Amino acid sequence: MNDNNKKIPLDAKLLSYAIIELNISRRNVAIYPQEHPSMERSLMRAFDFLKQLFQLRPEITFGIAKDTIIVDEYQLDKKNPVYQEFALSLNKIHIASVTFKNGLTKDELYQFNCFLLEKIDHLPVTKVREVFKKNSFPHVAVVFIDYGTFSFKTSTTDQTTREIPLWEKYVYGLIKNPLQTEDITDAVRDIPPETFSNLLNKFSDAEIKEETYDRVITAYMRSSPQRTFSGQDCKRMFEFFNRLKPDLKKKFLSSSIRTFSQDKNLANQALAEMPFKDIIAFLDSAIEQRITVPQHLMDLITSLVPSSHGNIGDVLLHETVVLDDVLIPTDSAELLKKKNFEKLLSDKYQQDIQQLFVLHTSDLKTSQLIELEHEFIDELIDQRFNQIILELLRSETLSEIEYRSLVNIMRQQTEHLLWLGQFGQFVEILKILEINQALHRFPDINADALQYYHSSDFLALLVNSLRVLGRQKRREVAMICEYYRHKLIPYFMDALAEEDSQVIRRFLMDQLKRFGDKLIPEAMKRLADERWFVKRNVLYMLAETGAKEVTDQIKTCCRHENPKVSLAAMKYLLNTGDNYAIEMLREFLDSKEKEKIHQGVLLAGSFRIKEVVGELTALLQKQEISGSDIQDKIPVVRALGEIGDPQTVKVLQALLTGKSILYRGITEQLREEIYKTLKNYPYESIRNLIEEGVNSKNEVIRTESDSLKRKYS
Amino acid sequence: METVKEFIVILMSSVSSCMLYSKKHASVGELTGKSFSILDTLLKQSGRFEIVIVEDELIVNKNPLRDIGTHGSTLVKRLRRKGISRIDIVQGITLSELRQFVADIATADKKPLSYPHIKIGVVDIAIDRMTMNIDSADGDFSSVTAELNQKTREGYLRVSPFKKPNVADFQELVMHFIVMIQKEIGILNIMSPVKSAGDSYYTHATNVSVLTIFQAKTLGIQEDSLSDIGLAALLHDIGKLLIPTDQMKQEGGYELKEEGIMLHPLYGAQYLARIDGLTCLAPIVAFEHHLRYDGKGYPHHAIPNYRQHICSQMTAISDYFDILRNTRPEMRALEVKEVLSLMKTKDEGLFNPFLINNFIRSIHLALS
Ligand SMILES: [Fe+2]
Ligand SMILES: [Fe+2]
Repeated sequence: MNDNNKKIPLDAKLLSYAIIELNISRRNVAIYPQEHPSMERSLMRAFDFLKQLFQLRPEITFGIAKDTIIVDEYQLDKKNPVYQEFALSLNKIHIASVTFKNGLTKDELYQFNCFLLEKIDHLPVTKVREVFKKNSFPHVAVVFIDYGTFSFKTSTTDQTTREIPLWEKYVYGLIKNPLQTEDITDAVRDIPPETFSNLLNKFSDAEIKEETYDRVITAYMRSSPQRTFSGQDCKRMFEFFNRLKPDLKKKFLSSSIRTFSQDKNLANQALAEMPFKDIIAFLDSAIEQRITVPQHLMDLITSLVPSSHGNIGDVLLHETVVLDDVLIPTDSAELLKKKNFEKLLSDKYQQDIQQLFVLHTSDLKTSQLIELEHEFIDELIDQRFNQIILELLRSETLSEIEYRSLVNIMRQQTEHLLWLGQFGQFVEILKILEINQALHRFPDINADALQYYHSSDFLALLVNSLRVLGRQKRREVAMICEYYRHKLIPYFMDALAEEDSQVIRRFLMDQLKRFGDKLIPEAMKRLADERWFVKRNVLYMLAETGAKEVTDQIKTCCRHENPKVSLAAMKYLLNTGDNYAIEMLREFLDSKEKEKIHQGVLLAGSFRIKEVVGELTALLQKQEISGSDIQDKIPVVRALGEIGDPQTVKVLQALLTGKSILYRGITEQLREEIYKTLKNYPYESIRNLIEEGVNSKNEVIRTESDSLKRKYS
Repeated sequence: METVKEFIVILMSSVSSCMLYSKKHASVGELTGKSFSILDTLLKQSGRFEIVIVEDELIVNKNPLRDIGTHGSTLVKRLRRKGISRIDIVQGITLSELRQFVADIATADKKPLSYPHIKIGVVDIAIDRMTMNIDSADGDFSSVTAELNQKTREGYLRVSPFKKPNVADFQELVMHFIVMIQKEIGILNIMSPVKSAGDSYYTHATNVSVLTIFQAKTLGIQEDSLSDIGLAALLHDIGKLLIPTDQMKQEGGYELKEEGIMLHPLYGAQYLARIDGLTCLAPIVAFEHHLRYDGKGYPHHAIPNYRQHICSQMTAISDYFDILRNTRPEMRALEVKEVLSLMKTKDEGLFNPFLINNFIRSIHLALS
């Protein structure tokens, strides 16, 4: 297969296969009878290809330009001798195009093949047409070339025969010499409407004679013994109208209305065949073009329209009867048919009715009515409306225009949905768009809508609504995060940076945590923000996620003037176990600032940093000048207690035995604290302390020692 | 202006949440809080915040607010319904004042009070009721109903997949129905007999609309909702006109394809959903009127635990009643009581029992 062939669409390809088989059987027809196996085989194959083809489209037309076959806008491989042979054989008998229609039988195909082989190539086209008409082919339409009707300027005739597609020649003839074209009926109806209108659009209104319009219209609508005007023809006629440029469209519409007005029978017959919506569309376009429709035609239309629609009959469907459009169980429908009044008006019913009247209308003013009225509030109606739109977006009944406008409606409703916290419905919208996208249903529209739902304006709005209302809908929020993934990070970060409420900050951090390491780059960017609370929030969040990245930026934050920032930075670093954190901690503990020391002590304890035991014991050994100095030692004792390093015990011992005359109360409190924090030290190192404590006069010390002793015995 | 819009959006969302859930719901608190903080910013900028309503436009601090979206138009609708023409908010407003204001707007029949920092201007709304000369000395309303049917027909004739119907025409029609029902002309007098097969579309539409308004009225549903209900019922079967012919007819022949007709709820809903200015009830009823109270019926859908809207439930009752009352060649004509009996006893789960009981009682009352 060559390149050209590869590019052509499936339907044209199927036709080309069928043509190959047809050409084989065309040859075989001459040799074998119809039943012969080899005859049967090629015919069967040709037929199968066409059958497959009809699943793609109801009919296919191919044109013949001398030795080339043209399907839609594709040429079948010119160099392929089979196509050439087939094309030439058709060309010889003046065939310009062939249409195969769905419903074609194998037998009809065989007969058509026989027709192609008849010895008629010496006959003029009019005779060939007669032969063709004698064989009746309900599913094969053929258009013949009538070269006589074209009056091209002599010099160009030969050359253009091959170049100009046949339809064009035909239309050209029709416009320039309307009177020469005798029997145009079939031809007009066979030209694909888009081709016909494209060709006509090349002419200006002035170039086309008045009678041409009428002839084309009559050709479309008039029935001949060979064919009757059908809904299909109508559809083609409208397709043809709709593709015309406005001035021509107007002319053709006027002409068709004129034709209808003049020929009541034709109008009657044509309109009866037309689907209701087409008639209305027809009238609409006429009105749009400011064409006056004669009253008697209007009357005719109005009389026809309802009757073609009012007779939706009753059909049986499974266990029910469809009465108009209402489903009724079969047995009830039976009742309707019987002359059986009693059965219907049963005693039971009479009793029920009596019961109903016992209730007074005023009883209705109850909770039931409140419930009824509640259903009419706009919000609930909107909510249901949205659900239905989503359902419709799944259905296969939508045209592209409808799909687009329903998608747009959903788009307009989205902000509303979000601010009502209906995140579940929002997720549904995304789901449907993605599914339809995957199914290649209206891909452009989906892509467009999805682009909006991924735009930065929209994501900011989304996260803003999540920030306010997301805490009530955590499951749906999780779905949203799952869908957008790390795309949401910057927006959540924005929200987090400025959020005052601790509860909401917590919620936002919970969301950000989902993204794990993915959020580090964005977080680092935010760390450069001047505002202290932004820095602090980012540091908190980094610590929460368990990110282990340590950068200079975070290190500098440890020295930030705002203690909330430095504390957050220290916490983060200690979490990572980075050495720098310990150095920083030492710096804190050695600081001259009381607040810093205090923070350092707390951190050392809660992170149990052994490396700073020396610094901590130094703090314990410091000379006390005031009561508050002793007070300050209590957290140090606690921190050391958390760490539980045996090296500490001798310092503790010193504190316990040291004599103090001043500040007895606070000193006693410190001693109690020492006993309260012994449990993390190795037993060996504190045995002596426990023994002494058991005999202490201080009750707290005694109880603590007793329980420790019991624990270790 | 962006902040103003944001304020309106969030304020309306809190009113909406208040209506949907309750005024104590957490979302209401969150949203009111949020709108309060935006309002605070706005007041700091200009000292006061003023909303004026002219026709269906919102004018905020002397500037008309364009593209107000769903929220803005709902606000206008709500305020107009309450007869509020302006709202002035001044500095010093407290969160609890704003909360109370939100709750007032959300409560259907409550006129908002003025608060120390929220002043409310009220206009008297003259409800211009449609009137029509429907008095008839001999109690024969056939000419009136014929005229209305003709109007329905004209409206319907304009329906096509390519063209939007004139909503105002249908609305006017429904107003006539409401007026007739209000004048307590016997319900069955208003309903029209089908004179010819060709008429059945329009008479059916008219009848279902009239019957559904009648039901709503007997249930005591607010007057405000009646016209939307009547309109939705009037258009319930519009999808039948929009089913592509190839789906309606069997291949080759002209017999009806049941799958085709069963698509009319979808075609109707998708058509009506796209019409601006039409109540959302219309596509809802078109979609749901063949669903049953027990959840069966058609069209098939994927919404779990779906229940018809009350308006669709009423329309389904009117629909069934009118279809069964129609004379058809192969069946005898049914008496009203027979139809009602059939509806009540034959198909359990088809209708909402509360509504069908009300319907039967009301029709009987009307008959007696
Ligand atoms: Fe229906
Ligand atoms: Fe109906």
